[in-house]
Amino acid sequence: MDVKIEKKEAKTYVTLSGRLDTTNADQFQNDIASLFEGENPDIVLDCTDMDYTSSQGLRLFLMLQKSVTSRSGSLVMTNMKPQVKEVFDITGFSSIIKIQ
Amino acid sequence: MKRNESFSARLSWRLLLFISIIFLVAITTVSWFSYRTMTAEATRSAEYLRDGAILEIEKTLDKVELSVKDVLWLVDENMDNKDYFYHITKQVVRSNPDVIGSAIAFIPSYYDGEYYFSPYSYKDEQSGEILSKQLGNVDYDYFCMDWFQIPQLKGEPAWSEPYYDEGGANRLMTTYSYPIKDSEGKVIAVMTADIALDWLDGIISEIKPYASSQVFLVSRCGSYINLGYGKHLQGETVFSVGGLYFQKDNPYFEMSKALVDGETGSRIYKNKGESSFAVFGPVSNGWKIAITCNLREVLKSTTKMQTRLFFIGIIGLILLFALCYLTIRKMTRPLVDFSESARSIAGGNFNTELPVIKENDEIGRLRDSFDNMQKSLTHYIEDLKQTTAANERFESELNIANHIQMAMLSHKFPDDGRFGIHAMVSPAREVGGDLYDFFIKDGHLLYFTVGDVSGKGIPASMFMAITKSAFRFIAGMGYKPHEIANKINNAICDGNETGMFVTMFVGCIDLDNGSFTYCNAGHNPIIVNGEYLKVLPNIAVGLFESFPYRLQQMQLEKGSVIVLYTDGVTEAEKEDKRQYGEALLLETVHRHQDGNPETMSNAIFDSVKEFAEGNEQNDDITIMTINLK
Repeated sequence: MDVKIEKKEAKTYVTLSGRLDTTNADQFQNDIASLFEGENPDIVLDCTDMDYTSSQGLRLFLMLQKSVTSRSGSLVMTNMKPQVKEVFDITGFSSIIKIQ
Repeated sequence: MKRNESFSARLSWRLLLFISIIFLVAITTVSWFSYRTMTAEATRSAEYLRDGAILEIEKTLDKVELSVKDVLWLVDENMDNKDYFYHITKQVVRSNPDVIGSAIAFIPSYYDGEYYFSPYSYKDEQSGEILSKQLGNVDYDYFCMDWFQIPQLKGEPAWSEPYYDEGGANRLMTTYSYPIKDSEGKVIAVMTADIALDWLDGIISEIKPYASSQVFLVSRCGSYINLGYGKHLQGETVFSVGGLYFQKDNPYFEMSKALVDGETGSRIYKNKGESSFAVFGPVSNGWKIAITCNLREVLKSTTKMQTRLFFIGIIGLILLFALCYLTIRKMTRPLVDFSESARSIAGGNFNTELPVIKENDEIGRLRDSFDNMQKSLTHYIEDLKQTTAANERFESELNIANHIQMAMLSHKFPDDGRFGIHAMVSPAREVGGDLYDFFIKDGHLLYFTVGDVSGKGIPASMFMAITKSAFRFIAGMGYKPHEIANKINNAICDGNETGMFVTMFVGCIDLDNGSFTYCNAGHNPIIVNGEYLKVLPNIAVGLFESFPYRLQQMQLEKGSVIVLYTDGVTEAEKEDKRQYGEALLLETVHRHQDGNPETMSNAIFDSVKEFAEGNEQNDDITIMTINLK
């Protein structure tokens, strides 16, 4: 799982690629630690190249969403692949996190 | 097999060998140069002596020649007064103390009536008086003697070969002969002066460069003149004495030839196994002088010095070897101790004392490294022991946890004629986060659930235990599925700091009429009669408190088959990351639609395992099958 974080103006663009599974969930948590800081975050997660997410990955997205909400910010996930979108749909995450 | 030779001995031997070679080369070089120098020096001094002797001899010979030549005019003027010749010869003997006799020997019958005529004066040995007589007679036929014949034939003055003059002076002597010619150039008489060879001894005895040195005076054709070294040389020549060596290319022969040929020079030769050198040169009258020196004697002083040097060197080398051996042994002693320590440590005795080394040299540094290694090893082994013990403890605790978790799940599957049920769980690790449960309430309501806690392992298993207990408790109170989901959600959300959640399918079948009510809380859609059930997208349990879960309902007929599973089934992977998927699951379900629940569950599990081809299971797998009869 590769994570690239870029800041442009007020927005934070995060590019995710590869598989997010049990083996690298902890690493991923460290990689996105910076997203849990700052006021009024405006985060865009680009999921174009994300192939898979496990339930541990979902948990991390959920925690990020909760963190962003508590800091009056916004989180959007974009360009999700169908098989990833399906997981979000089944678990009901589609109704918690904004997906475009 | 390695030779059991100590390092110190080996090093010492090599050092000794090396130094010995240098020592030998040095001593050989010194010997060679001193040999050269000493030989050259000895040759030079022998040459001085030779030249001195030649001068001395020539001086005497010149005087003899002069004493003859000085009176020749007297002979010429008194040819008619032949008795006066006695007076002339007497004059010659008197004028030169070296001359022992003098004669004027005429050719046969030069004076009428006198076949032999040779007036002769000589020094009487006893009285010292000078006497005269006529020498020639039948017994002393001087015409055929060398001293007469050679100058007569050649017409030139000559020194005779040494001879013993019997009938004349009766001594070993040599004669200077001067031919006297008439006006036509014909030799008519030979005037002589004899000298005894004794006087040579005086000259020669002074030439003694070395105690064993010998001086030889030889005549024109190589006969020995001075016999100071033994009568055996009388009548012998250098060639007859050297007969044993009379071979071509023999240095002794070469030297003898050079000597007789009248060369001036020096030669080194071997005589009876002893090396000697000789300097030689000619004297004016055709004689030759040779001085021999024994090389052993010449080199005696240097040989003595070399011998001493050699023995001192040998003693030095022995001392050096001993010193090297002891020093190196002392210095490498710690290495021997080290090997003992290393052996002891290798045997597991990590507290072995290392040898103490004060110097901070290579061995000292080796000791530090060794010490460091020993400490690291000790710590490492200690850590390993603790880790292993901790791991063992942890593993045994995990085993117990696994038993507890399995015991929480029902393994008794009732078959009461109205329905059949079977469920199985296979955790990816010792404990897992999947759960299932079922029970009958009020005799006709079959409550069941399958859930999947996010994550795996111990955290998931603890969450699973909470969820399972909550389900049994809440469902047991007779709530509808969506109410059950709602209440479990509220219970879990309260104090859920970690963001963990559970996807659950909660269902309830009224066995009396086939009415099936259910609520899917973010779980994989179940399969009912070979088709995926359309479910409303409710969120997983534990995410947001008070989420309004919605209830769904459908009617089941007899023979309906329901299959519930967790994502460990559909997301089971091959090595190449391809997933088992929903299509393959549906296909497997179709194939076993007519079997009993246990067959269905096992068939799905086997199919998943077969698909994974031995790839490690990375998520918990749970399968539950229900059929209505």
